[in-house]
Amino acid sequence: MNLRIPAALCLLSLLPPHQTLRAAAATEAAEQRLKHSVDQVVLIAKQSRDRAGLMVAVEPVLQKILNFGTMTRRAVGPGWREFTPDQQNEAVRLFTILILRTYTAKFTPGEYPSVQYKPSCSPSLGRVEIPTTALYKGSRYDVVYRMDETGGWQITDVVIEGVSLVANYRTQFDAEFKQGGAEAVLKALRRSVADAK
Amino acid sequence: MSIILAGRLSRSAFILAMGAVLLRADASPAKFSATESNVVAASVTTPTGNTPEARASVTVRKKRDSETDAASSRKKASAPADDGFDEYASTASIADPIQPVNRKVFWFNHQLYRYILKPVSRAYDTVLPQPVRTGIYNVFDNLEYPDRLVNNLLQARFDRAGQETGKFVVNTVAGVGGIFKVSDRIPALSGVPRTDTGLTFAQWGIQPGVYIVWPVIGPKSLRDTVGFAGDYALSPLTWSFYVFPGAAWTVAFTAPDSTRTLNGRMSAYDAATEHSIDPYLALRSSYIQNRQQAAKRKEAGKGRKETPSAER
Repeated sequence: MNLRIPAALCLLSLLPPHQTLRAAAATEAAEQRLKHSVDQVVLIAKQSRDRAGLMVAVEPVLQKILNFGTMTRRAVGPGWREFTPDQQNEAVRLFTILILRTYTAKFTPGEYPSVQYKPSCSPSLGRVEIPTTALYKGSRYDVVYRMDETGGWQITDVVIEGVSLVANYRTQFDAEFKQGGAEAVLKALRRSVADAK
Repeated sequence: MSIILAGRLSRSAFILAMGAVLLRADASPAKFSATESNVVAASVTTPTGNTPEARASVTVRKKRDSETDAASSRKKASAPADDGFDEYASTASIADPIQPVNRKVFWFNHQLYRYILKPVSRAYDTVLPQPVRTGIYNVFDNLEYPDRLVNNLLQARFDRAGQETGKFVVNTVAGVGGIFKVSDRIPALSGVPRTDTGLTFAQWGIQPGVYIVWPVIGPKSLRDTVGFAGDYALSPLTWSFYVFPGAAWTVAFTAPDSTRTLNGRMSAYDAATEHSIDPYLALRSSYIQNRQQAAKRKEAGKGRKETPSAER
């Protein structure tokens, strides 16, 4: 498994001292951004009255912290190269809607998770994995946030109980792309977005 | 006599067929992860897993990814392998040779969940308040102790076997038959990872085998199907059927047990398949990733918390 790197083997422990400091500082920065965004979302979840209001309020926060372009690209896979720029834009737009819906569907208005952060890890320079434990509605979930540095730190994958959001969609997009290329992927996306609401 | 012979032959044929399917599936796992015709060769030769070469190649690929981000117009260039596109290629692969059959069963299950099980689950939630539901869940969870004990012993995790025994005793005595999960307040006894027969097989190195969607029960790998049979045999509820045979007792024991896990399973199912492009593939991918993670946690040897969603 390419991306499942145990904490002990994280680059952080193998770098020479001055680079370790830099990597540690980067991890700090990533953690700060994540905590800030999570706190904002939790606050909104606490105060919200209904689901629609919750979605509207949470969206700007998620737009800032999630890197939808990278997520779409990785979810589509190598076939992304065969997308025209227009198709790429549309794919990112539709995928954004799906992810926002998936994320906000988890929240019930008035209920909010309590998140504990565990030591984070930097599998390579420019990437950070932050494991957390979320206590929500009485159940504990392991959630790992994978963040990339593209300008600022942004989330590029959320792994809940071992299930990666991007990997999940990758499996589905692969099947669509194999059948009909970029158009099939876009058609499937449009259908999904239209179906749900 | 001939009937017995016919029975034996058909059983042997069935076992041989299952074995053939299992072996064939194991022999070609790469087929199901390399789905892009352009990069089939690259995916197959890309090292996976946790070997040093795999980590090195991941590091190299990630560096290249950040470089080619800006220059994505250079599409036609040398494209044999990944410039970060193929990271998730082999994340969630399992052999699925009977996919057409699986899809039909999946469709059947979907209708069942939507029209029968979800309304039942919602009715259950309405009728019983949260503390009562938690209490019932805890009682039956406590009763699954033999299964966890035996599997921890089979995995040679004697420390966890001891913890499970401690939990059972504390919860049964101080928790009034398991209703109150007192062990959560004792740091030494809390956070013991759940285990089951399927994960024991994983630890023994048995491959997952093929993906099967069972009616009502849902998706399982072949390994986990056998594991489920093992869990069934190790469950005191099953034993009680033999002690108290009869339809009334059957309903009395199974109804609370099924409905108590129903809520969790329904929300896990929804989380996996809602907002998906293809719910069948979404569920399959979620299932195999979740089981891979649960198996890995066993190997890592670090006790984490009990998570309701890492179920069989």
